[in-house]
Amino acid sequence: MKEFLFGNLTLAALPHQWFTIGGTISMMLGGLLTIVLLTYFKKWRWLWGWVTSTDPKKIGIMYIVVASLMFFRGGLDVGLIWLQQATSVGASHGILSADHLQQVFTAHGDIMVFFVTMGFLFGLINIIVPLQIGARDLAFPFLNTLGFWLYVAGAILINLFFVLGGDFAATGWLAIAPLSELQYSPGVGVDYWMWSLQISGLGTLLGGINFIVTILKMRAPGMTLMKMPLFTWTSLCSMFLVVSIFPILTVTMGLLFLDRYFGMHFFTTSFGGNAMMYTNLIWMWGHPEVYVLILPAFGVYSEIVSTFTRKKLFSYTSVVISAIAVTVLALSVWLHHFFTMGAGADVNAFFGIMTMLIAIPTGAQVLNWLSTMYKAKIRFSTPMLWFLGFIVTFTLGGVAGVMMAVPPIDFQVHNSLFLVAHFHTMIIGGALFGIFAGFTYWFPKVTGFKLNERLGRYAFWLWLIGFFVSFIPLYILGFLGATRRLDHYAASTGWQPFFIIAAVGLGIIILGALMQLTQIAVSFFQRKQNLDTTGDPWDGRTLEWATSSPPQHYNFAIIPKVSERDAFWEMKQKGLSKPTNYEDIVMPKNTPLGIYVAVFCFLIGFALVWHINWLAVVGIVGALFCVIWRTFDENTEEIIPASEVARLEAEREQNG
Amino acid sequence: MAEHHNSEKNIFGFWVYLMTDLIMFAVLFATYAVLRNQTFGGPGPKEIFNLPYVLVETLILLTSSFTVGLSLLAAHKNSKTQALVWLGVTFLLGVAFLTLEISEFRQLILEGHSFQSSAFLSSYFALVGTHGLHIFAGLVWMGILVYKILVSGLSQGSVRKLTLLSLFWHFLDLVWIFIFTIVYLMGVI
Amino acid sequence: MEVANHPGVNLKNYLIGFTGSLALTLASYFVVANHLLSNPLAILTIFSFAFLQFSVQLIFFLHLGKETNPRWKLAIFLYTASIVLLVMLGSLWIMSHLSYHLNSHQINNYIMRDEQFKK
Repeated sequence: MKEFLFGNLTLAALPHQWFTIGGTISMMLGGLLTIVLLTYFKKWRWLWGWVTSTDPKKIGIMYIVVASLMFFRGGLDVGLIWLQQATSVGASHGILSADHLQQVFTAHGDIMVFFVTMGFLFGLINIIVPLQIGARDLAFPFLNTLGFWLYVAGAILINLFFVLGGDFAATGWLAIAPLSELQYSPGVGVDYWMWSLQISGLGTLLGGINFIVTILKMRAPGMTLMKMPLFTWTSLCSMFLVVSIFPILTVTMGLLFLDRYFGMHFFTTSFGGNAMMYTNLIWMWGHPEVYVLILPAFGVYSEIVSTFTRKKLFSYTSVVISAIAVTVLALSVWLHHFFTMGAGADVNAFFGIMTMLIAIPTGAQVLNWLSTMYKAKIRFSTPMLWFLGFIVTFTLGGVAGVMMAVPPIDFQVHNSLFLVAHFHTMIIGGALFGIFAGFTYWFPKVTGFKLNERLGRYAFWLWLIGFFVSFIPLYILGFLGATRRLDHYAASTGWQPFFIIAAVGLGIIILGALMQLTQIAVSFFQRKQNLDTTGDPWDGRTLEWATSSPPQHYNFAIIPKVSERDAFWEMKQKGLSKPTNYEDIVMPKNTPLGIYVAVFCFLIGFALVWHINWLAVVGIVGALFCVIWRTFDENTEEIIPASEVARLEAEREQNG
Repeated sequence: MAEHHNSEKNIFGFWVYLMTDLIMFAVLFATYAVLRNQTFGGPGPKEIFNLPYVLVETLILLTSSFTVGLSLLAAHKNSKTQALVWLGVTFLLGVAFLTLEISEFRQLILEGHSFQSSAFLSSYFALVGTHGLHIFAGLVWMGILVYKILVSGLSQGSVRKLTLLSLFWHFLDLVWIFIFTIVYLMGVI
Repeated sequence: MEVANHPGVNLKNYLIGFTGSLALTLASYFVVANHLLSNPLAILTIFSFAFLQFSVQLIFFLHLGKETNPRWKLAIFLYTASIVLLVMLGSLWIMSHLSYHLNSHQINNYIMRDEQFKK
């Protein structure tokens, strides 16, 4: 009976280590505090409005908030890793056990990729893409809220072992088989890993479908594909990658689930299973995933360079072609992650060459940005600084990448810290700097006031310097032979000074992150001085600047007509005309069904982690019921009458 | 106009979803192809597949793919009864297909060739079983749609859902062509 | 009779699709069941029949390519088809290489060592 009710979840599984107990207590206190505050300030209704919202701007903000929280969480992991590696040398064994450190490594990688970078990007895309293409909402507003809440459900599930105990996967962020099989990882860690990513991955997939349809079918009249802003273009490319690779991830983890849950034999060491198939499939997802992260960042840079030089981007067409080329090539290079695992020379040569080819379109984009800056009057505002930081770090990381694309070199540095330094250069220097640039650039659009420039500059320099101090030692350590995921090394290696320098670098990065928080707080309290009343604080070029900051719920009172690239710039050249008569606007209603479905999906994941079969059935039936309920609802839209639009616009006019 | 635009968006979005589903099946096919010979000393495809039985399954599914088209055609001509009759026929054919498939699985397991016996059998059950799960989902959807049409007639919304359902059902038959060819026919060659 | 706004939904198309698919299914069945052809040729034949039937159903059941411009459905289908080929052929190529060079026992040991994991 007890087993039926609770599956494998027993009292013994509950937290009993200092860090899990601490996690549990702080989370419970945090939750309690939130409830008290919400009740005291009577904000429950306000919260409900956010939770059930189908407005992509609100959903985007929520993505960014959750991603920031997860950034903090992932950052804690980094702190533990650096501390361990700086101290665990010779006779000292550092602060963590080997097994616990492996769990921290796994959590760090998964959280940073799935819940931080992806979360930030989906946030930016949600807020900006509809504005850039002159749309009022997305093609499928319900799927958007559902996708967001599935992302949140995944984020909670990956942290749940803090509260409920058990452990996390000690398998590396991709849970390579056969280590992730039941035989070698009998605990619940891999199951937490699997279901957290499975659920949030489903949300990502839904988002991918949604944005493809939105961008292809809902652009403002006159905006042909070759007139789209570049952030929209690269987001479209990124979403094409999402719909191509997330099904692969779903099935791969599904097969691992069948192995672990039903005793099947896909990746096991016996009964004919083949663990290399897992490596093959997971990298078929894993490599393009990096480009899912980097492509939207490329778009952000394109927008920023062109805005802050007040010039048309140099050779728009070649930038678009490069983005598409990166998208296609990204899908055909996955084997370079396992050059060393026994493929023959011809296979390695093919994938090595494909990998090197990616450098061409990527380099072309870098040249385009630099050419745009040539002989321009550049404004060095914070977004532009992030861009310049990106150019330096990304080129460095790119060169390291091309080195490793040569199989013989890869044999030397495979799974060394050189590799770790390379991909952190790409993801921090490429994707994360792009996110920060975009965040600063579009912040006034979302909130109506600009961020403090001086503090932004401080944050940038701290991040950039901290980054180099952290990761240059890793390149060197890689050459010296230090491998990844080390929990201990001998003093005779002489590595410790480098690890200490790297830890100091991390300290500088943390200061940078704190500076960003200060920047947001200070800007908020001084917002009166920094108000953006025009809706166009940077003298922008694309449609998101054509509407007020923050935009009305319906984005545009009148859908703009587009005739040129950089549509808003053209409009400003021709002189803006005030609209006089408005039409009724149809907008999607809010719906709580997204969060309901996500709750049921969370239950499914939780139940399958602990083998509580009845709860899994409840979850499946509940989720299906909610979805079917939604299809029966024919009344999902509401009309904002023209008179109401006119009133809102006039009100905005007065306050502005 | 707005309704027409919505309907076009829905169909296109559903199409993109089907494409992601196609990639899921591609991964399952690839896994099957890689693990096909890993029988771990157990029986291979030649020993366990019953070709005439599978032919019957195939023909049933193909016919149902045809009848769901007829139902959509009737709906477009605004003939509620005809649409319902063909949808009912499709439903019954789908149930027949699923029953045959389940009893095929049952037979295999009873003979001791379960999904745990070898990598080959694991990949076979996963591939064909996933297709079966899709059929099951399609049947649930069909049942709901029949109820909806009975209650509120051939509204624009119902016709749109019927269009999506027919796409889904045709898609499942498309996948089956390759299951029939790669798993069954190639298995016994 | 063609229904407005829904190109391709007509009885003629469904009949062509059904009879065509039926004929192709039976043809490949008889090739295999009666051992009409020797091995490489038989596989080639049933694969050609499968792809032919695939095209027949795409055109006459799923009405692919009949939408008005821009033909996004067709474009996305072709894109997906290339990914499907990549997944299938890529996996087979890579995996055949790996199993040629290493047996599964070696592979497993190798992964465990390569990924730095301690049992």
